[in-house]
Amino acid sequence: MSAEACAAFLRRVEDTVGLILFGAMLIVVLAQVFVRFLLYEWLQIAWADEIGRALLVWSSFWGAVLVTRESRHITVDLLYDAVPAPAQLALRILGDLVLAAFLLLVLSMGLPIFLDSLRRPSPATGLPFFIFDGALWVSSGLMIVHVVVNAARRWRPSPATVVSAVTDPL
Amino acid sequence: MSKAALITILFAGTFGLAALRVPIAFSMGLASAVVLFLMQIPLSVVYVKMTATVDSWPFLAIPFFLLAGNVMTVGGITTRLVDLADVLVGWIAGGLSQVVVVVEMILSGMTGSEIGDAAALGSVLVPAMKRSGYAANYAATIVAAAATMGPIIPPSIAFVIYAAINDLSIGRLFLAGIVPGVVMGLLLMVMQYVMARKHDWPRQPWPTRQRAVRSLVVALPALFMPVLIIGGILGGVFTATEAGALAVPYALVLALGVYRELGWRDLPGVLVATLKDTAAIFVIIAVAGIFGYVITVLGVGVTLIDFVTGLTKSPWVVLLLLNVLFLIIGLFVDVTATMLVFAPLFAKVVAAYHIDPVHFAVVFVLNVSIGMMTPPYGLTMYLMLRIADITMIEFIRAMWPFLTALLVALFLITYIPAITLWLPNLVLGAR
Repeated sequence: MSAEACAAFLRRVEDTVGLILFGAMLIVVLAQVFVRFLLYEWLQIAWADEIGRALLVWSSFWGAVLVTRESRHITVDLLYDAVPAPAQLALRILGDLVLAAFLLLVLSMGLPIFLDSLRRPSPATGLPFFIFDGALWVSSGLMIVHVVVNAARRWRPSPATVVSAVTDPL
Repeated sequence: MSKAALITILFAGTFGLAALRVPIAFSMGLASAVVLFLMQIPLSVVYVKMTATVDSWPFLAIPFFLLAGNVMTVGGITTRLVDLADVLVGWIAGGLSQVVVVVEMILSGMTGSEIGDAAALGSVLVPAMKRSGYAANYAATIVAAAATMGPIIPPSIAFVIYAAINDLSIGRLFLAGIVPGVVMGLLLMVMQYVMARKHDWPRQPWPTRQRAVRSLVVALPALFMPVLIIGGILGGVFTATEAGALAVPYALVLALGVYRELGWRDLPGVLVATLKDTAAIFVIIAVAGIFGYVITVLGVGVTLIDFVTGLTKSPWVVLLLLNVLFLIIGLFVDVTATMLVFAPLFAKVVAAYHIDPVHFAVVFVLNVSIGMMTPPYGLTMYLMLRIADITMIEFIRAMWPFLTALLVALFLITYIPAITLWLPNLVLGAR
């Protein structure tokens, strides 16, 4: 599989997982509402609160992977737009370095917490605490991949970069 | 290292990096981490705080309001509301500009974000205004100014965040925003009437009765949405999060079934787009959790209260000072970041002056919201530049009359607390 096919595959997987997380979050909260209104005498869903919050954590950080992939984090462009191209490149490199530094910090500092979360059960459902504490670690890892890939593409623009710029699926 | 030096590193680092186009979330994150390191606090707190801040049931309302808003605008709600507003106010001088304000007042009763509203309104109404002879920069500034009502008229993502971090009732804040939103709308309409006379902006023809009835009937299902959301929350039937979740299937039924402008096949695209909108906000929320922690550890709040109370004893002067300060902050800082970092700090300051927290919340959010349409850092402005295809200079030239109207609204809302507090106190009882 070529590098570009890999990237396209990863993109598909990321979008699909994001879609599932977001959809599940909506369904869980809706289920919670309906159960509370219609069936509350017979059925308790204490887990909905915990799962809903866990899905929000996952959606947020997983979504950040998509945002990083497309370099669409919220930025202040005032200075950037005013400077010539070489300076713009320098600013982009600075941005990449800060992202990479912060994400590496998160990964290294979060590792013990991440490993611990695989064993510790959550309070309401008894699922591994990974459903909360795993999201940031997994997503940070993927974000670093995208920071590196995007930086590499900037140095050596391949035909696929051009394509992806004009065929944003949304 | 001294406290002052650490505070300087925190703020200079954040704003310095952000100015160099480092994403705002990561500017805040790295600056906070450096200060934590210098204070010899274990950096694992970064990981813990980021997750813990996002892990919040009230915050779940945010992705749902974003999704409902996206579904509604892609699903053709905006054009129906434009038709209705055209019948209602199109015949007044500056017809289409008045339509913008009325549509935004209804639309912000369904959606929660200023940017979303501006995108929905701008994509439909800026081309329409250009066609009927408005200069592009006026069309852009009219929409940007109207969109500032978005976070004030409920439901509002800004109020959800504000209530969650300051421990206020979301329902009470939502109620508190209604009258101020109407005041803003009326002032904008008056200003547009004056401008229309001066620039000879066209008015739309007087509607036939048949058209009036038809536009109302078509828009009616959409108009029920604010009733469902706001009525449900205020009646204590459901929480803001549940209302947001219910708004999504309602919007889907309208877009897929009633107005039929959205197909099932478009749905994954809308979901993924909303996921990205959500993530862009929540990354900042997560990192602001660390930033806020650093600020608390440094005791910035206490320092600030001492400083301000040393300046004046009058709540009126404090409100004036804070308004000026927030307007300046709003010029440079992102909305979510401003809310998360500054709102808890200043909420403590105003508490020292016995200013009602609900009143202050509305004043604060209004300031931040006006900051969205002003350069250099106004996301709504950047969006409108793109939609109307104009430069920032052209935008600035046209924005003054509408900005003035909004500042008058801000002044009234700041100094007449009843505008904010009358309705919530009437419905929910005084606090």
